[in-house]
Amino acid sequence: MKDIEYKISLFIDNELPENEQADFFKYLSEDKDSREMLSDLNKMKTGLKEHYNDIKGDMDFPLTLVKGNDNEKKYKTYFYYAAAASLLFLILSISLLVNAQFYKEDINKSKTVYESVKNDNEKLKNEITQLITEKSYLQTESHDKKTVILKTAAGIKITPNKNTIKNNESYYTFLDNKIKNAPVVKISKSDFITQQMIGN
Amino acid sequence: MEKNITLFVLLAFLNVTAQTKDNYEIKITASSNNNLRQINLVKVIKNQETFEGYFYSRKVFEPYLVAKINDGGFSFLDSEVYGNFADYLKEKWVDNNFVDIGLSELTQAPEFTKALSFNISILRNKKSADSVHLFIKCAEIALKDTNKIPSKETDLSLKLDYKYFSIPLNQDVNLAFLTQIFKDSDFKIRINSFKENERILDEDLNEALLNKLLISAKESKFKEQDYNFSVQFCRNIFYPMKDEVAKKYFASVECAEALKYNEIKNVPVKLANPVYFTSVDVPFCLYNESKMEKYSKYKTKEAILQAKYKILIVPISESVEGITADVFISYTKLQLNDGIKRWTPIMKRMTINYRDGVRIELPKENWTANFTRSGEQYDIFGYYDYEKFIDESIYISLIK
Repeated sequence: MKDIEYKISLFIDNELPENEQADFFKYLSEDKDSREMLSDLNKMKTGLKEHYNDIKGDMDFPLTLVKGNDNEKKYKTYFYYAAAASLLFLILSISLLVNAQFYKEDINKSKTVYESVKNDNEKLKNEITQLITEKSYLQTESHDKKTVILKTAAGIKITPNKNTIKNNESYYTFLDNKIKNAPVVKISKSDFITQQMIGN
Repeated sequence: MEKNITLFVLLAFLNVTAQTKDNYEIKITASSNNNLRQINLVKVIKNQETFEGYFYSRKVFEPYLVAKINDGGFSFLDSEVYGNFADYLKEKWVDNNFVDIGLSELTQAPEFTKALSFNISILRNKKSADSVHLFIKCAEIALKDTNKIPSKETDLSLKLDYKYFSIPLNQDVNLAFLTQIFKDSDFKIRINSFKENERILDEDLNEALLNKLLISAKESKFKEQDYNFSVQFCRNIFYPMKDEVAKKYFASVECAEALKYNEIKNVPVKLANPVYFTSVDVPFCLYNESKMEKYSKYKTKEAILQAKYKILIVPISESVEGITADVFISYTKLQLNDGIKRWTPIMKRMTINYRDGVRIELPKENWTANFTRSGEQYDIFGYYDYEKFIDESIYISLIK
């Protein structure tokens, strides 16, 4: 018989299936070596059991705790605690998973807002840079450094200062320094060649 | 035989000399597509001179076209502004026989999105006296990203171009290649040919003005002929800015070189000394939205809503500061031709500073124009619909 040693071992441990036991004993009856092996292993087991019983009394802790009938209730209680803990852990995990989904959506929303703000910021930055450039340019062109009309793509609008424009800080004069700084001649009534045409 | 050869050579020489005396008045007009803005660049080209200037589209304020006559064209060759790119461009420019420049007026204003510097030469057409050849050299520079201030050469793109073609004299000719560059405007060029000292001023001038002009010309002690005058019209607007409306009613500007005349048509007396004349045509804009909207549908509006300023300069004397001159200005803000006098001609003696020129602030007049043309009724109150919202001035400078 193949694996006779393994089957003897199973038998000693009461783990040999019943449907195999007939063949097992038949084989034992025909094989002396196998019977001796069984006998040796049985003695070994018995010896171990006796030795175990001898040292049992000297032990401080209950070695039979796991299988002992006295501790069965305790064992069940631990099992229930463990089951309850597992259930709690499962509930917490599901809860975290659901929350994570919500957080994911929030993160996506935040990302969109962030991108939008970033774009606005970039746009604004460009506008400001442009405004600063324009302002510095205008200031170099301007005597009184007053505000002039600026209208930007971002909708920033600085109201035109009529006085500033009247001081010739307007579209064309600021473009050409020469014109702005040129000596000014004003036309008075005496400069009209004919009588002034009024209200005709 | 020898005499004949000598005579032939002499005649040939005289012919060449006569040819070189031909002068051209060159005028480039840029009109916005909505016909409310117009820029005219006018210059007299003598002998082998070239016509140089630039156009650029603005980045700040309102995106309208700016143009100027300027030797050397646009100032983007300034290395202080554009770094190495300027050196590269300058090299290209010189290699291509463009002029080297030293313009400093706009070096601190990288406000354009696109600029075009031009150099125009006029070549006589030997086959036809009625046309000339134009040789146009252009440098187009543009911002690659209009939202970014250029700081290095890679922020700008450059394109050099040449055009050579014939155009008839005394006719408007479209410059389509410029429209392709500045899509919001139409460009026209007109070249008039004339011989110096043979021009007769053919303008309908006010009689009182003419009398004063003759007196001034007689008084003139100005014998120096090396000066020419440049005239620029400026219309400054402080109409309340209302988005689209503001864009519609923008100003126009004209740069023009005043031409020298010794005679005036229908005046029997020859002028004692030359006078300089130029006229400025700019679209008239109403600053009354309801009227503007109403008249915008009128067919006659383009012919009528057109202002014309005639500027005559009589140099009197020279001084350390500049040239003292009598300046005459006659203007009509609408083209009505109904014989009714609505605007008063002006004469003012002033000094035109050698370096800074002079700016004349024009008066605001209270005029009205109520009339009907081709069944279309106009009711314009000059002060309330126009004068109140604008300042007009004329800038005169010397060209040596």
